[in-house]
Amino acid sequence: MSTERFKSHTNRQIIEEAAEWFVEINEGEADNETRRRFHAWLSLSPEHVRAYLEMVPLWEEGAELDTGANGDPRALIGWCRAGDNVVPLAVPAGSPQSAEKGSDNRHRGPATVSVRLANRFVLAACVLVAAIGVSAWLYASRGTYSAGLGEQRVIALDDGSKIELNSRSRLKVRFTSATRSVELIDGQALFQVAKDAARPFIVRSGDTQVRAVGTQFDVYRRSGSTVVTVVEGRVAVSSPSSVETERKAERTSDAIGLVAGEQIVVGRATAPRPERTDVAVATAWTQQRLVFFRTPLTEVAEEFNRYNKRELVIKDAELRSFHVSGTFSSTDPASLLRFLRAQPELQVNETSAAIEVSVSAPAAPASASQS
Amino acid sequence: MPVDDKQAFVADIARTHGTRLRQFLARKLRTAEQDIPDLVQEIYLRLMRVQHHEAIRSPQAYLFTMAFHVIYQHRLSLAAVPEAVDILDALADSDAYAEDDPAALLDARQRLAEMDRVLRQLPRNVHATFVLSRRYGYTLDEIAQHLGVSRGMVKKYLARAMAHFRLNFAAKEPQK
Repeated sequence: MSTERFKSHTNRQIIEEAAEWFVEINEGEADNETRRRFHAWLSLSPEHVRAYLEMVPLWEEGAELDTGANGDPRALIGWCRAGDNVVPLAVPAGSPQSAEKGSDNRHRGPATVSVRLANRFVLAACVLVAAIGVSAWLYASRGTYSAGLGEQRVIALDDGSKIELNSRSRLKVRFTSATRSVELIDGQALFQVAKDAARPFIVRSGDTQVRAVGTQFDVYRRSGSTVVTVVEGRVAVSSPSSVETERKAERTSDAIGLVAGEQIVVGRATAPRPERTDVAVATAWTQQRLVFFRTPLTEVAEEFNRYNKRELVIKDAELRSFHVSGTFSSTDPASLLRFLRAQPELQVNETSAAIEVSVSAPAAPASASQS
Repeated sequence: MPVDDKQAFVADIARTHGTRLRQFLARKLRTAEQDIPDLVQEIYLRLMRVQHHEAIRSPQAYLFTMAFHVIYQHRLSLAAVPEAVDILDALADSDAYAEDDPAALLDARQRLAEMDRVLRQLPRNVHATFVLSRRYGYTLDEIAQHLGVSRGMVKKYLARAMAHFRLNFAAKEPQK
């Protein structure tokens, strides 16, 4: 395979430099000088470009790792701190970090104490987040943003974060020196959060709180629930109903950790738990696409009404079990209507005020499902 | 187009499609290995053609966007449909292309098992740092705090893990 072939002519030092640049660019805060040096490094040779590009699959696949026995970050931290094998790392010259040699593991205490401290830190952080959530209400500073019917807008915030607001959505932004707080009053928004470890970014949707430091995630406030989807990075979701979470480690804190590619629905009768999801589908709305996969007609109607002045009304209760799969343009609601009209089980009646969908006359299939 | 417009364009692509762009690149870099040297050469040449490189605010996004375009056009040329493509169409297209490939899925699973094996060869700190960062999305500062090391050290751990993967991945595969 590729790796073996390349190894012969991409030398070790280039690979090590590429790895350091990759980490620096993806995890550090690259300033002008760093960017200039990075470009200079890339320009030295196509080998550098190749070594850098070849970091991409490794980086991507790392997010998919099945962690097995260490299936919990805290277990992993405990396992790590229980060992005392710290291997000194050689830093090649000309690497982005060579200026940063300094203290490494000076602060390590006895392992058992450290684990307890780590747990306590997490607990304290959660308490702090709860406190911040409340106190954020005391400091009003910023206004309300909304997007009307069929409108989508991008809001650039002072801290460098960006919010994409979906049609028929409204939110309130309050920034203080201690916290960045957003209340999703209605609808859906995609948050691209600029890193600021000192000021957590907290999105509230009803009782549900989503906390992030630097990441990208989507929050959708539905009539009876809130859907949180993480595109990049990690967030913590907490709500009064998340007490009975399956993830034992989070039980004490009442917060559920969510990583990239995961989605959670808070507010349903069952205890919420993160599930793997297709992020592209959850954020398809930012590209004016509505993506349905075995989606109940009632939810389809809810989506549709986000973009259309004439509301789609489901007349018959048995149509709740009717499912729709397909991709439609949100800027062309007629495409969905054409699809619905083509279904023999459905009858579509248009009036000036609404579009009514009912079971078509003779056959009344209570469990009709389309997929 | 002027550098500023191009910048805004690239930044917009990176913002909207960042993850998908990287995933596409990751997949293509693995499966198109025969052609990689040529493709890299082409990407490099385009990079060299950039006039005001100091004005590029996100060199990586720029590089990835260019690499994507080159690789995508290469795929099109294989399919004997030589035509100029708009990068946005290409991105929309790459979506479907990437997902319905069972061989790629199997390959991905084997690679993950292999990655896990290679990961275990590393010191615990390096191992844990990589998993905390990539799998659980911890920030550098969070990892530093949890592991009781400096932020600079966390970066070194991450880089060490990446270099180790690159050097030891698939080492057992037959020589060509």
